[in-house]
Amino acid sequence: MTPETLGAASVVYMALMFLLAHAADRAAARGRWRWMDRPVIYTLSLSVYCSAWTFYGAVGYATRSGLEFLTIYLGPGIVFAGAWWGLRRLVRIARLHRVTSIADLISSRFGKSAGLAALVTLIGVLAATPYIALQLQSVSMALSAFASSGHPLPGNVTLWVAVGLAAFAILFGTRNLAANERHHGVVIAIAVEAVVKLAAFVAVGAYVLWGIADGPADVLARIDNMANSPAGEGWQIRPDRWFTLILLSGAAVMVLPRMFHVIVVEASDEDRLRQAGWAFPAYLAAMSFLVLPIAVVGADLLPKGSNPDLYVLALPLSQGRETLAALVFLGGFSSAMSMVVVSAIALSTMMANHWLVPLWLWLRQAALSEPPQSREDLGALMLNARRLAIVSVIGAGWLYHRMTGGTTALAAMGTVAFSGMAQVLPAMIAGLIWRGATRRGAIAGIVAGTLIWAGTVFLPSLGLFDHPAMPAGIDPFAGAVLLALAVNLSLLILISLLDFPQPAERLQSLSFVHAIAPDPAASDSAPAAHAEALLTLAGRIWGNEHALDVFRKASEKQGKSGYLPDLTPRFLTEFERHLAGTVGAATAAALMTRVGGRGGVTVADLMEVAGEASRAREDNRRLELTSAELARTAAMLRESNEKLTALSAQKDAFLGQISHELRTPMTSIRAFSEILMEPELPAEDRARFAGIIQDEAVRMTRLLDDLLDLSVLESGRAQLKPGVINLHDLIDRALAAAGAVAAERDFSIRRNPIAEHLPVITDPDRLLQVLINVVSNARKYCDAAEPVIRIETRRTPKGWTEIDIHDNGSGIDPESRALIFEKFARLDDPARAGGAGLGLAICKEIMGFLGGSISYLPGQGGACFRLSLPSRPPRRPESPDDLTG
Amino acid sequence: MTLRMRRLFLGRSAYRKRRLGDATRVLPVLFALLTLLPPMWLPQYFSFARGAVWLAAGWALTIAVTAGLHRAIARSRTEDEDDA
Repeated sequence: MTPETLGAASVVYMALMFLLAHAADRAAARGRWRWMDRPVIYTLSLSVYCSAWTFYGAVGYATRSGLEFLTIYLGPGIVFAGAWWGLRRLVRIARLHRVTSIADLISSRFGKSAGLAALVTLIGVLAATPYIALQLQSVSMALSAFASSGHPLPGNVTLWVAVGLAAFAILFGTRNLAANERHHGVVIAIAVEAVVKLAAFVAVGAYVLWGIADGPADVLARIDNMANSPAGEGWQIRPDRWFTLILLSGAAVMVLPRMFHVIVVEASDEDRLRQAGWAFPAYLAAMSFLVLPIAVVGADLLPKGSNPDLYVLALPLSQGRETLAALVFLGGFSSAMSMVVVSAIALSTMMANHWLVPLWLWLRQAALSEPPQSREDLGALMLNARRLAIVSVIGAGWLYHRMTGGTTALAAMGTVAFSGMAQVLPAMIAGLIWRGATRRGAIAGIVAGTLIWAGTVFLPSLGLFDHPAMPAGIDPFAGAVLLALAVNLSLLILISLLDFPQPAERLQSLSFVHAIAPDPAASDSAPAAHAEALLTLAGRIWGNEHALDVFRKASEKQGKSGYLPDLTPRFLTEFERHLAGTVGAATAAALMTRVGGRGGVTVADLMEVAGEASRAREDNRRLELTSAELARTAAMLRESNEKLTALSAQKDAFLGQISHELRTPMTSIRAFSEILMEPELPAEDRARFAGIIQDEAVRMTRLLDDLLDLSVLESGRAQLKPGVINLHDLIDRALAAAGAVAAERDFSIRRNPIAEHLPVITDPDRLLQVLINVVSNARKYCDAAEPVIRIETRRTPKGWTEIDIHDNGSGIDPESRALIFEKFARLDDPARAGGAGLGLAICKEIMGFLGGSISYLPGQGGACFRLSLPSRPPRRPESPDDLTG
Repeated sequence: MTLRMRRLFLGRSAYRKRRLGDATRVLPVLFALLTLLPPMWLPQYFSFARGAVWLAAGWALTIAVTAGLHRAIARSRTEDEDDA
């Protein structure tokens, strides 16, 4: 088997992963992802812990240092043995706060500090770069094991691997800006890769154990023989390293960005830790104990001087088992691929949320809440920031590999990364169990710990400094790491003890330590005019549809209809947390301050919370439930009452008006018919007067027709005449028919003819009636100097058809929006409108009759009406008598 | 905000569940002691085959106990909501 064949095999393998991830993403988008939301998928996805370092490096590590390699897996084993109280708590709190990354967790706990988030991101990137370089190196190293002598590898293997992995991460990691950072396609792909790498490793392990060696007893005997060999000295356990490495690996499994991502961010609930708590350690145990036979048998059989990192490939190759070696290569490729892709996604989220977006916000001081005139899309901006971050993370790994030319021992780079990220551990643990830990304490501890780590571990590993001198008998690495962690922890505790934190930070600490939902304590509800600004902001981040959906649900929860909920403290807190699920807590808080006009929390607010909490809580909770229910009902009643009062006033006015409208033609008809009775009237006058009488009668008939139409629709006696039509043609007809309205003004019409070619099954005449009405209204009421009417059509995933009709006028006042769809409602003076105020009421009835709806969309920078139609009109019982005619 | 009061006395199944929760707290401590103390105390004794067998057996036992505990917790889920 040549490196070229294997290269082709890995390309095919990667293509299969693309297809799989794509299929999973598609299924998830259609809501069919129950089958992939199983605990076993979650457990398998945790195996990104086993990177290429485990796959190749662990054997080399075991050959050089004996059982010490096991520390890397024992630490996670200990952490997962306590998964049910430790990790479950972490997952619960992180989900409560919609945390997007480890940096976001730390920043959110310590008062949503943007500086802390940026700092943790920096450590993550620093630690990950050599680690990613290692994965790229492992692929080319493994290929070189297959190369015959005098047949060099193509020089840029690592570059192509890096490009492929970056493409995968970008395609499936930055597909859309979800409100929770979950990536179904990626998770499925890494779960499958977990199976591949386990199968490959078990296959080669079993082959070595029973095929080459003589079973476990033989392997144990070979291990004991090591004691007498020259390599045996390295096998002696050194207690300081043993302790430090178990501590580091236990920390790493929680704080490495990729591990935090799969354990916490991709978890759909905390219950799956019940299975992962034993299944993941079992996976690790299987992988790690199979390392031993490969290491000792390799050391016995293979020629001295061969690279122990490659024993896992060299052993089967030396016995002529090429297929097995190829399977092992794919396993190693899988572990490198899943590690790089998940790391890149996790780090890119951190870099985009904590570096690029804050920078962009700081550069652009313009108010974000303005209607999207330029149609600037914040969501796309953030996705592009993440793509850029992925390319730079993987690119940095590749550059590192090019510059160092690759290190000889894979294990060293892994422990460097672990010890760097471990500097975050004291702040994380203290933040979760101690309310007194403060932001300044955390920053001081992390900065000091990281500086010591950089000076004594990181830079020496690059060959820039010498390893520090430690007292005799202490391992330089273990000594440096313990020193950094000790200084880190002491500073954290000392400064926290002396500090007095800000109220906002104290609220967060209460919420994190007691694992309770953050309290809506901020009693500063912003003025109502800001609800629309928040909606606009949300629309620019999540896209209009999702934002409208969130606001509608919130508004429903308060017992209101429409898209604009009251800005209660509860809603604001929930909204901010929802936003934090996309952009991180610090950025979300900054956005809320900027757009919502929301001030900080005061000490008085805090005292109020404390007083409330100390009262009899159980009673309180029950009362709260009841009063929330009452408040909802009251809100509903208040809304309907307001509507009724307004309607009744309008109705009186309308009755007066309708009498007037009926009476005017009646009066003229009576007067002219009296004149017609005069015997000697000239013939042309007679004809003229008869004409006037007829015009007036027509006007009356039209009014009566409208009223009759409405009453037929309302009583449900109208008859549906369904047919299939092309929406594009219908919109053409509507625009032509409405063109006569305000014909003297020059309207520019913006349409997307391609999107409009949608077949619709409905009653075409009725839909046309609605379209004409809405377009005429837009022409009538749009008060912009250069009026523009924009028509957008789309088909939703559920098969509904939506038609949005925007204009760029000043829109409809918030207080009038509740009334426009009611009969008798007309917003300004009757003279200008020239109708009886029945148009939109009839539209609403017709849309209901067709099984759809018409609604007003706020926050679109002008009036905007949305017509929604189901895939087919509802079935109605045949009415016995046709009253529509 | 709901800082809930924990009940002082519980029924049989809820009591059992609390104790299961206690067991999940003790388990990692025991496993940590088992992996840390012997190799650090007697490195020459645990550096080779004996150490490998000790760690493998200890880990396998821990995994089995964890699995058993988690199953038991799942069975007693429905009873008590006050154990958060």
